[in-house]
Amino acid sequence: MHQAPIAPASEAPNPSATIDVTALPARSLWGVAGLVVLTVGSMGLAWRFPDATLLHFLWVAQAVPVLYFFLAWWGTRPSRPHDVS
Amino acid sequence: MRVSFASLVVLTLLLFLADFAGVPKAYVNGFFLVASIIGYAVIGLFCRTTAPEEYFVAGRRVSASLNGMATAADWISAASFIGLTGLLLSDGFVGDGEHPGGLAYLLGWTGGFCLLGFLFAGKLNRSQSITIPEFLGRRFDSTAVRWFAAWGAILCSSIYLVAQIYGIGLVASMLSGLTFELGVFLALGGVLLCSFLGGMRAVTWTQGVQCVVIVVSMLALCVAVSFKTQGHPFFTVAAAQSLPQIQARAKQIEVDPAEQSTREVISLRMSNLDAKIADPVYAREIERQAVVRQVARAKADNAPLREIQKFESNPAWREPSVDRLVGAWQSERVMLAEAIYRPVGFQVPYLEGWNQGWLNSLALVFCLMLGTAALPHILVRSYTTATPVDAERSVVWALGIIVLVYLCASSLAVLLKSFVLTELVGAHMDQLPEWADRLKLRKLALLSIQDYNQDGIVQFADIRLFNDYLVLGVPEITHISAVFTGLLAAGALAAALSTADGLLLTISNALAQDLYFQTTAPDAPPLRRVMLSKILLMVVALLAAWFATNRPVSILFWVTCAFSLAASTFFPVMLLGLYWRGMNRVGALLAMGSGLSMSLYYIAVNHPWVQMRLQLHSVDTVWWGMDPVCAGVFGVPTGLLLGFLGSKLTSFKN
Repeated sequence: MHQAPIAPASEAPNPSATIDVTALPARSLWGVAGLVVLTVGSMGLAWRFPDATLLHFLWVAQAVPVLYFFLAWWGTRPSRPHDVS
Repeated sequence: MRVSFASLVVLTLLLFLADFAGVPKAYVNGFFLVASIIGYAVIGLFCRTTAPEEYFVAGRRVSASLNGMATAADWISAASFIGLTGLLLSDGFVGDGEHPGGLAYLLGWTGGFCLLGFLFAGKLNRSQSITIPEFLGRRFDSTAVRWFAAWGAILCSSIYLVAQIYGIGLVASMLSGLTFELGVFLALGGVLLCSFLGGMRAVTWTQGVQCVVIVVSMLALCVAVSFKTQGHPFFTVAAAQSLPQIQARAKQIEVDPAEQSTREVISLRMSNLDAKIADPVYAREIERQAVVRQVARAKADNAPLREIQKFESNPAWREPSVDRLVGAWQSERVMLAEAIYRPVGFQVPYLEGWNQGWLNSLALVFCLMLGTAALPHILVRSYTTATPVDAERSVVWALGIIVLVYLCASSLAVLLKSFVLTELVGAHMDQLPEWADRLKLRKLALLSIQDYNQDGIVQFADIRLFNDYLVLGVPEITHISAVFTGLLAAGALAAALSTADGLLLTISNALAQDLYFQTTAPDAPPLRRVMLSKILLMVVALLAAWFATNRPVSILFWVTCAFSLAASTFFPVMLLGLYWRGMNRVGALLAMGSGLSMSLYYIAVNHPWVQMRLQLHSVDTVWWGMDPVCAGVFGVPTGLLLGFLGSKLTSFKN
């Protein structure tokens, strides 16, 4: 496992980088919305059909966490070129 | 990481050979324990540092993948690694219609990483801070905010830490055969060597290795159990194949007259306990007279000493204080209630879809997700990568690893259920399966069975599984090699140690950086800062160990409370502080203070000990039927509202 290039970091324990207060990026906003819909929808489905254990297991316990992973991957992709730097 | 993976595989294969060659199980397990702790300590030794940037934030140059692995190990605690399978097995997927089901934990603990990646990781990294309180102090240009945030971080992390150290003690004593207290201090030696010497740098590398151990142990166990039950390694498929049989067997058990008679006996006992709790002084007198008669009769009949001791173990005889006696009766009542309300399969029969359990589950998911995104020891990992994009990518890496472990945990719960329902339920009390006898007789019992209806047959309600650490008995229950016990315990130990490492660093840094140096010696040289952090780290570790060894802890309960507290204290202030320019220091203090107070109050006022002391009743203190662990559902909105109002009102005034 290689390490990423050394970032410019100050020697002092209290560096003075600025803290930017900005609006939530659209991709993150959609990501949060997707998270809410997926979670509430999946739980609603499970509690609407409380006897459907196979559905609970395959969809809620197995598929939804995997979908969270893809959602996180999509939602954190840099949407603007300067995000990468 | 490749080296650690290869070493683990080679070590496991060697121990398989040792197991086949007939080397005693205690040696095999002990070897895993010693090798793990020595391995982590050696990493700590190699990564030792006194450079502040290295000690506090690992030089801010950790790659996204390594940081993701470290975050995952930091995150996967004793509760989620050893507790989740037992929880799903015992409480089912959708719960009992009143309390949250296991699915709520699964979704809350994974979905929170999406929030962390979307909302906080990149921005925290960009701030180049070293602790969360420091970040908040700088954002609001306020020492008071930093001071309050430091105490909040210390409180949330301490609660979490005590539960982890308790988990470490359980695993270490199980592996080594030492007493619980010695197990705690032995494993703590490993934690201290690692985090004390090298701070965040050593902890990052150790957590990377621990992540490999956690994933490999869980995957290997799941694949082995899958092979054992369905003959192939695809555990999700194996669990799905087992589910229809489990459901059929559960339905059979639910309508079994013997099961129903057991439940009636338990209900009767619960009613008796209610009557005793209502008038404890009178009930104690009656009970004591009964014990005197029983003991006299037993002595007259020359009964064995064990029988006499059994009579004398009655809490009414043994407990001098009425409060403690009522406490003992209440604990017994809770245990009996669990026995009849928990589902036989994965849901209780005739459960109507929209019930209190649904609300509690949603509330718990809310608290766990927001708590995950606001836990200080997870947030600080965003400072260790080189760029904001790396910080966000590391969150995705972490989530991928955590999801893999949790997929295993839920599959394992299903596969284990089939063993409990088919091999244990219906067995004769004097001819229990070999694994049940062994789990019962362990120094750290994973199972207890009481024949309530005295028919000599084990019914489902007779069985009590110790969820918090039941998973440690999986190799015995599923009849796979004893090497898996060691491997699994090494994974559990890695999970508990890695989380304890991160928590210790967070607490000691908050104490040293945010409280001491901020107020007493703001111009202290960097070396002095590092040294004081190290000393405080050791003091905090010893204090937490002392606390954990003196009080029995429900790991899952306290870990979940820590999430609610973290969500209430930090989520509102972080969200408003990062995305709303109008948020000011008054709003920040109000957001943190009100959120924390609200959650703390709700947890405290609903704790059985407090209720007993203050003569409170749950019907008066529980709001809308919400479980105390879901306290964040009140704390977070309160924090958001007061943070907003406080900022608006003071900015308007100015």
